[in-house]
Amino acid sequence: MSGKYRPCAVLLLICLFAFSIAGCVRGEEEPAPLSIEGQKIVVWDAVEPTFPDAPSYQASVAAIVERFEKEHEVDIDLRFMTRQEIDQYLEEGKTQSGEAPSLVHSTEWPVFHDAYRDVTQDVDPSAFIDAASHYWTRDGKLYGIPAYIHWFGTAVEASTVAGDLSEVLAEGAWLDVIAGKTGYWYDSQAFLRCVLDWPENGWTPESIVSYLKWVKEHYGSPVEDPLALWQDSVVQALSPVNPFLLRWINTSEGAKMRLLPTAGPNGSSRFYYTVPGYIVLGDSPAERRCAALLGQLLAQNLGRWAVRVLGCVPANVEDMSFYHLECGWSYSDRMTLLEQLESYSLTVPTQRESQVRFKISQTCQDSLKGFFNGDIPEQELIDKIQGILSGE
Amino acid sequence: MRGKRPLLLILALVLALGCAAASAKRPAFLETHETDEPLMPEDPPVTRPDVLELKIRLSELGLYDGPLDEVYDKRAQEAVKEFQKGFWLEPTGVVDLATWRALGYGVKRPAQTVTEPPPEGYVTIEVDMDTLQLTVLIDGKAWKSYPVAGGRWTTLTPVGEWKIVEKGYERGGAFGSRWMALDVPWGSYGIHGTNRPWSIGSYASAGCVRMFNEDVEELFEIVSIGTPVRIRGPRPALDFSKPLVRGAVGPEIVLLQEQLRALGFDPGQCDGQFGGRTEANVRELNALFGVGLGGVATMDVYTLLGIRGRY
Repeated sequence: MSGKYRPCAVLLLICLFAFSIAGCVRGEEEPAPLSIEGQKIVVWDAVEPTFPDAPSYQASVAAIVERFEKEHEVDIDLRFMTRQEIDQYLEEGKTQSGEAPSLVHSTEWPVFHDAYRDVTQDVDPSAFIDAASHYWTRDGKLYGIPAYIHWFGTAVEASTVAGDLSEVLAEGAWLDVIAGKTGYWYDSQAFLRCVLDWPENGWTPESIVSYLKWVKEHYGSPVEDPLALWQDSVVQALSPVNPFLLRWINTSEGAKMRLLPTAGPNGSSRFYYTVPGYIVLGDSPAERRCAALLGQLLAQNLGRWAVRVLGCVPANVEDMSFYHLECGWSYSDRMTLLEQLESYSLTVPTQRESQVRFKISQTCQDSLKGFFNGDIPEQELIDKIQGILSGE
Repeated sequence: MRGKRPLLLILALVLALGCAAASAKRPAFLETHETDEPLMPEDPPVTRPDVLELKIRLSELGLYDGPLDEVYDKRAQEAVKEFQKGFWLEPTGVVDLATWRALGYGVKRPAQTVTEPPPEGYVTIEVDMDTLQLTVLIDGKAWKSYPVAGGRWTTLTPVGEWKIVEKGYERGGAFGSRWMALDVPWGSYGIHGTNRPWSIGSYASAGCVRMFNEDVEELFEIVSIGTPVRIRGPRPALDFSKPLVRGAVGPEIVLLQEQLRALGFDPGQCDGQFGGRTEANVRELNALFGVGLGGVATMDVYTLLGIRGRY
């Protein structure tokens, strides 16, 4: 090649290089989003209770679905189901009400099933607070759209525990206040899980029985119908309480109960959290995308409703301002709920894990009264639980 | 006249057969709640709930000023004889169908505010025992109201959501000219006419809803088997001292179902039967509020529903 053509060749090479780079860049661009127009999906939402002077959850969901249908030109079949129907469907994959859903409310006790779809492509996990997205993440994939943080704790007559929650917890003063005056729901699913679903405690027969012994020592004999006893002023504290129950209690005549964490035998006092949300099911990519897009709106709506009506922490970072302005807790109480969330590392249990916990709970419930009354010796209860764990 | 005699005989036969057919299939409430048995002047005197209605009417007519109770005493017997004389009835003191009918003469049914036939649409009925009004609703909108009589304080009209399960004709005794039976699971109740029209607007029945015969005849044509009937009003003393489980029946269950609905659940028809749907609702409530497991309505459930210690 003569020197006359060399600059042209260099220019040509530069152009070729530039075009190829541009081509590569274009090639890495994300493809156009999958169209969901014309999709028909079935949505199962859970019925939320109606509280006086509170907005209707069901009405807000209906309005969102209607707007979504118009905006995306899709057809949504919205059904409100009981939690039992939802749980049964997720467990068995059968529906008695016709078409299978593409989007389902997970309820307050989520259980992981293989049918759940990874929504990472359509839902940005960073939109949620860490504890919430972590709860629904498995192998780096997001399998649910978190809505809010559902807490479990102890409700105590506010007048008996004055001061900032952080101080109360540091001093552990409230433990003495409520000792012997707490009504426990032994038959509640949350009773054992609140304390034992922590990595340091673990679900060993010894840890379970040790916790029960501690409860027996500090809180006395089991009672029936603690809520009725609280109404009769027989007990001043109730455990475990969830947002629905505390809201109900505090709307009862003259009641002012404060939310405190659940006490544990090793001096720890913690809230137990689960993260209700929405699960995407279905096979077709367009169906799944449609469900995921709607699921984000419904999750945010449920989160905001839970903030305003129940005093819960929203899962969506964007809605944290609602929490601080509208949840109704004092600054100290709000921050304590959030601080405890920072160290929270639980994830949605698998069906197997959930079954083991349920069986242990049932065994304890069946034997609990006997154990507390001294009819069932400690070793017998340990053996029973050991039997379940080894059987699994 | 002689030529017309066979015709009259046939007519009488048809009427007799018709009446026999109508009375052959009578719902239980017609047998148990009110009676067409004549009231006899006996010594010692008979005590019957309808004596109170009799005494009220005699007192309205200025024939009786004794105690208003259920005892058919001498003074009441004399007043009845007096009344019978005035109506060219034999003054026996026996209160039979003819006497009851005569006692009702002169009682005016209130003027009708709606005289047009009902529009097309879904018919439901609401009975308000506080105002003693029965309202027909067409597609949920009130169309026409009728005055009624309700149950006495000792025999309250059952509050709840019922359905008409049977309809029939009567000959004009204590049940008037028409009756409609309701599916109340703990007793036999219905809506019917009366031969004591002065009782309309009061609490006089054994739990049934009484109407003027003209009104019940109109209503009879509007409703059909399956028409929903919602009754509101005072309730008897309810017992929430024990847990309630599937299979239970009674006014306690109606209140339980109503309160479940008020809290946002869907127990279906508040029909006083603790069936599968009510059980599922109680189970949901227990799980949601974390106060227990299963579908048993315990003291905590009553507390949550605001019914413990209130009734």
